[in-house]
Amino acid sequence: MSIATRVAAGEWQHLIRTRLALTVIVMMLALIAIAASTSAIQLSNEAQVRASYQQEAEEAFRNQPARHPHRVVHYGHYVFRNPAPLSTIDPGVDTFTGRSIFLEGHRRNTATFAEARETSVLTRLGAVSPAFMLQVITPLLLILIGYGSVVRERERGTLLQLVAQGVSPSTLIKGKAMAIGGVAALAAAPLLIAVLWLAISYPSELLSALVLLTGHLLYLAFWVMLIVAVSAFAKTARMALITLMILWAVSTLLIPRVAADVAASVYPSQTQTEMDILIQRDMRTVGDSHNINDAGFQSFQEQVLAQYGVSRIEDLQVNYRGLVSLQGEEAGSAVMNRYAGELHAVQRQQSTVMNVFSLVSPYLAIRNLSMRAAGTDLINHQRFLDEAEAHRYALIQELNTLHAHELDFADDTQRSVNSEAEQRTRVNPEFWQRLQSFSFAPSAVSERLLSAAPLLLILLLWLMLAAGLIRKIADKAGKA
Amino acid sequence: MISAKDFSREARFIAGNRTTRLTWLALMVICVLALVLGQAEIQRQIDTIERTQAQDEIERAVTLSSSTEYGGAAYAAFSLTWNQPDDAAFLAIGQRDLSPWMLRVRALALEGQIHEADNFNPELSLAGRFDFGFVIAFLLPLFVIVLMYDVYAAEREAGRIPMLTATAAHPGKIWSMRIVVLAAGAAAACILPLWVLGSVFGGSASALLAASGAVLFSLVFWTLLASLIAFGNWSASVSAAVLSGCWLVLALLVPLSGKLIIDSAVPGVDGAQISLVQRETVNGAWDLPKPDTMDKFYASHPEWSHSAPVDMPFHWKWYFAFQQVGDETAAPLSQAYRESIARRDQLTGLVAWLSPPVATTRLMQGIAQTDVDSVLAYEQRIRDHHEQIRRYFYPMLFEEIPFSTNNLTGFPAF
Repeated sequence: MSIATRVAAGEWQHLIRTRLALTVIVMMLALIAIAASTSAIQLSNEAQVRASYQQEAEEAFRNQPARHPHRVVHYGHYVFRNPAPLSTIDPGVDTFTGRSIFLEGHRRNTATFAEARETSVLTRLGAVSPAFMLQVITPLLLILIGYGSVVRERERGTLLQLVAQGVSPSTLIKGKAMAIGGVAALAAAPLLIAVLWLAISYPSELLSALVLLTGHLLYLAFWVMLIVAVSAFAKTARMALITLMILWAVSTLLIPRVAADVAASVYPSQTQTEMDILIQRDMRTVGDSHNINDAGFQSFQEQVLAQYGVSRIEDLQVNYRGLVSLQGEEAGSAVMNRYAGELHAVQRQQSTVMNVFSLVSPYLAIRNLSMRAAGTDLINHQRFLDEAEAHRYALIQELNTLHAHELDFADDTQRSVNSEAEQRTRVNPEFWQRLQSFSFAPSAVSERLLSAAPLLLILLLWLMLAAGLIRKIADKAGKA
Repeated sequence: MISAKDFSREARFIAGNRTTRLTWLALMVICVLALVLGQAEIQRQIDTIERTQAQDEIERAVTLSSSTEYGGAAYAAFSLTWNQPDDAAFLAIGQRDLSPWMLRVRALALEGQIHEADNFNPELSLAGRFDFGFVIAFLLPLFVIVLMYDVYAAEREAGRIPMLTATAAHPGKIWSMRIVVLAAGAAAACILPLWVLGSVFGGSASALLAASGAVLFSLVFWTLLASLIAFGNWSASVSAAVLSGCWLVLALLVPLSGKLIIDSAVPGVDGAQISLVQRETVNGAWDLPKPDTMDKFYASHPEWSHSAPVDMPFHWKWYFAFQQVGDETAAPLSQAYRESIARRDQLTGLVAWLSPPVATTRLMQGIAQTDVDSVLAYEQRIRDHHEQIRRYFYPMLFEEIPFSTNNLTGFPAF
């Protein structure tokens, strides 16, 4: 047994003897286990509920009776976001984003019914999840266990004894780090199990799960080194504890919130309502596609007449109303996508600001890394919105095409006043079977790892910083 | 009794300690920062509301003046509603970075509109906002711990206890005085910026007074707890560790356990169901005989039952009747959804009894009018306004008045 291991074993004995330390360790393991199981149960319920809603919505759509295609454009469709596999470990922004989107003609809706609105005061510091336990609670508990590890020996005068026995300061620090690191490893064990289990159930997630695991291990290693370094540097145990508590609070509580406020101030984003009004303003130039005589469609009409070589829209072989709907949706959707694109760009800039702040807060580094690797971050939320929009556009244009090709223009014009014409404008329900199923999956593992890579680098920097600190303190102690 | 003389003597002694002065200063700086950032967010919201109001009036004027029929006008005319921030909203952003504070509605079925979410950046919501309420609820306790954990042990470890107790007439008084001075410094560090910046930002005296009360509530609780632990027969570092453990339990673990218990006690009403039900009723009406819809509508709106029967495949009065019937069908679900939010909020109030940080947060959000109650009250104002809009158009639709844009003046203001 090397000297360092002996030191570590001694520290472990001390931790087990001290009731406080033992209580903390037991509490930590219990918390992580509770968080992991709660989060796994919730996730599988969520996944089932959302999948069944999605199926229900698709059945409702396919079982519609004969209807006018434009009525179906307004009947619309719902898509639900199924949770990412790794959200069991880190739900990320999932509780703050809506879970369903209503798809309809003329509008690009946003996701509604976010869970966070319901008990926000209780979960504003974090949700019950293994990631929260490891990123926020575990460092705090490691501080409580480890703040005295080195400084205690000095305060009790046992340090000299150890030195007399031939234990060099760097070996002592190494041994203490091994002991605290052992506790940290214990805390990370449930994560390892979760990662292995997920890798078996979702083999494609293996790599991202490993990056998630690596990130958390680096983060915990950073805290272990920092704790031992501060404990070796401090004159008194209480100064060590207070210093560590302040570092923890600044990294975990203070900086993330200040970063959010700075991001919102530097890159202000538009609210949905303001955006909706501006879209409405811009849409006036597009025109109202419900009204084929709208000035916005004048040149379109001339173009269509020229293309088909007729002089009146009544003479067209297709239903001109449907063509206007197709054209209106295309132009309108371009306007809406421009606004959504701008908003998404601003939001990504805000998130970049948050990433930059991880240079002063290791917690932000691991939090963002973990969300990005798990696919539960802003980028994937935006992907969900964009995919839902693509699904919406395809569906609506399919219906507008039916409107143009399956309906008689004269019937369509008469349908509000003539019951028989109205009956003839209802298309065969078998068309509703054309609906494509929707299923959302987070972005490809490679993409996610690419966006997590800079954060992994920052985390490594933090680790190197803590390692450098330890070496410097050990050198100093060695000379003294 | 605490005399002014004792207080000032003890205050001079404590203020002579550099660490204590720095701690007070840091607390004050953080309070200033929180107030400024809170106000910046609220000012952005006020500016946005003003900008949007102006554009909303333009859009509605254009829509109404270019209408050719009342039904078309009712279909197209949106009306902006907004939840104006209270003068004291800068104290706590609360629900204002989660729930929409502006929403446009029109005469169509409300249940399809009122649950619209905003597009807040979820990564910012996840972090939460750095506002005064957060500082007082979560950070002030840590400052109190730093200030007081070694108030007794430091003297004991320095061997000064026998001397202190020998020279003082009432030994207990020295300690209570020391605690009072430390707490008074912390109170001043929070309340001074609160009153100075709070008045600049336009907070009313009563709100600032109430917020000062919330500061004192948090401060007194943590001071009592810290003194209780700090006078235990153990070392300063154990005091600090036990106090940090208390903070961890009260600030993080109790709220999270509360959330788990509330989740199982109040089964969530799935909001998505409301819009599904509303959609099926509204769209199903197209395939039903007209009198089915009209009879249902007249049952709740008998004042229009004299209106002529609908004998055409489409009529605007029938269209708006089935919109309303859709809302009425979804009403019980929607009511249950709101009740579950209110119920969860009530239970959160019970959790607050076990967690002073949660209690402080709720107090601050109540003062700032950014709590769940204020969101629900805003929702009710949207519902009232929507009813005004409906009833504004009903006479034109059901009396079948000949169209004239002149009749479209007097659109109800929010």
